[in-house]
Amino acid sequence: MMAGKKWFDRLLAIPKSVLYFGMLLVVVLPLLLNMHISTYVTDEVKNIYDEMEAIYRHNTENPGDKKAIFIAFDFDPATMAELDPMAFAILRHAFLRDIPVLGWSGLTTGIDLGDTDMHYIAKDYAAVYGEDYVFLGYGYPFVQAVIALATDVKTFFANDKAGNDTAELPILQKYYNFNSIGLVYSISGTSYPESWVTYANGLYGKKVAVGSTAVSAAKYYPFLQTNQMIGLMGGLKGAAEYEQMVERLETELSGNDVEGYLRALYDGRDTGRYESRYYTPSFSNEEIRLSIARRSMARKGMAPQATAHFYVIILIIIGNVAYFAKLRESKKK
Amino acid sequence: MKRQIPIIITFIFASVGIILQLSPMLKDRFIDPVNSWIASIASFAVIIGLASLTRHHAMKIRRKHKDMFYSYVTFIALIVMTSVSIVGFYNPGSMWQLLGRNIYNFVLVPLNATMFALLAFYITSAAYRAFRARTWLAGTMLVAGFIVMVGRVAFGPLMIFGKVTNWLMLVPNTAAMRGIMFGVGLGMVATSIKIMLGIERSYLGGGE
Repeated sequence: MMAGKKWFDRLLAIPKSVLYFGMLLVVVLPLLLNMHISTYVTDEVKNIYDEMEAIYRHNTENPGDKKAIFIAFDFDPATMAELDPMAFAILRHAFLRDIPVLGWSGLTTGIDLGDTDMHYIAKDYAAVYGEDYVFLGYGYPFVQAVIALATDVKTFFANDKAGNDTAELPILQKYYNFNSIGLVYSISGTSYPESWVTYANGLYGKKVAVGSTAVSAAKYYPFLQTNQMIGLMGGLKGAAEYEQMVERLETELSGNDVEGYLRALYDGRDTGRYESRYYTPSFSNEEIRLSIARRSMARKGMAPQATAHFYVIILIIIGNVAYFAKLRESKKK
Repeated sequence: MKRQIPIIITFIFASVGIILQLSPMLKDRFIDPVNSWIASIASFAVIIGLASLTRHHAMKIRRKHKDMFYSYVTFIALIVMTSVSIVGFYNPGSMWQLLGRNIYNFVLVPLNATMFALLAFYITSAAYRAFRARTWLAGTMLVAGFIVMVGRVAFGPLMIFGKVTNWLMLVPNTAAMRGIMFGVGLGMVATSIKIMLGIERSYLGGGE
């Protein structure tokens, strides 16, 4: 059958299974080869970094009027491959600069992700739950939860995700509404960031930054131009950019030896301050390996993303060449 | 009356919402109680959703629908996850809490992530079979897509694509998106006014 077929017919008839197998290979091989890709930094990501540094400077100069950041983990496991690295990078930056962090999730399936992400990164910097960071739980109904931040978030969340009475958590005595929050950072693959712009920025003038999946990023660019969003991390590339900047900062502050830093982190500290239900104040070898891997997650993900992009481009070119060759042939006839 | 009362309630509460936004004094005074009200009402939405889901799947099982197996799966997942989570929440550190966490981490997370990851394969097939430069508009989209795909992962000599990608996102993309948003925004305002004034009544359910 195939012998009588023209080259373009053969190309147009490549079975789906072959195309799928090709995709599998271009994604798996860079991961197996442990490839990393460093990327260039764009203004929209740099702006978020600069804003965090501005909060740090403000906190250093005004210890009595410190500002926290608020992170909305509005994503679920479907988009965690793209959005988790963003959460890790911004949390790392906050804890490195001793900026208090408040967080919640607007999605039921994102609650455990947000909670776990916060504890993972807090552990790397010996941050204490309830003093340096808090995860409030499920922000539902979403708009009302956002509006509650204008007065006192404790009225909306009587308990945090861990079941603590929010009125007794030290961090929420100082940081409980927009007045004490320097930046709202929404990480989402949904349209929640638009609600943050509408309410947190539009009604209360708060600075909003967004981390979104690459496919959703396009719709947020108009908000950047009007300064309704101060910055945008789009997809893995945005996460990789931020990751690079935070890595530079961490190297500057703690040196290159991450393993040595982690092993010595809890030496001489009062470990009684760290409750085991959040994390244990020590690192096993496996935890150190994972912690180091988490520091370059986005850049590792960029490698299969790059090969997958090139693979799809090549397929589109082949498909079009074959299509037009066939068209030309049929016109001749 | 059955339809008029909900319309009157809608009008009153929509007016309250607008007035609160227009008067900072009233907003400061009443925003917290209004918020609590809305949160309470939203809780009923969860109950209605749960009742609707239960009725839908119970009906399928009763009628012995060919896909009733999935209805059983839904019920089992619903009952197990809800019970384990509630018991786990009130017994921190217990096996129930661990079980709930494990179901989330080792069932929901892989399932959810897998569903989204499958997109890569569908896009591969669709790009190969359907993405054709048949017209100049399709050709323009193809070229823009090509530039953005390379630009997003640009390095070394390909950096020029990165710069063009930035321009594409910041200028033509922003202009197009803003136009779409204006349209959507105006549509939302118009629909809201129609609902508030009782012109649009489809949200009440039933036929006219």
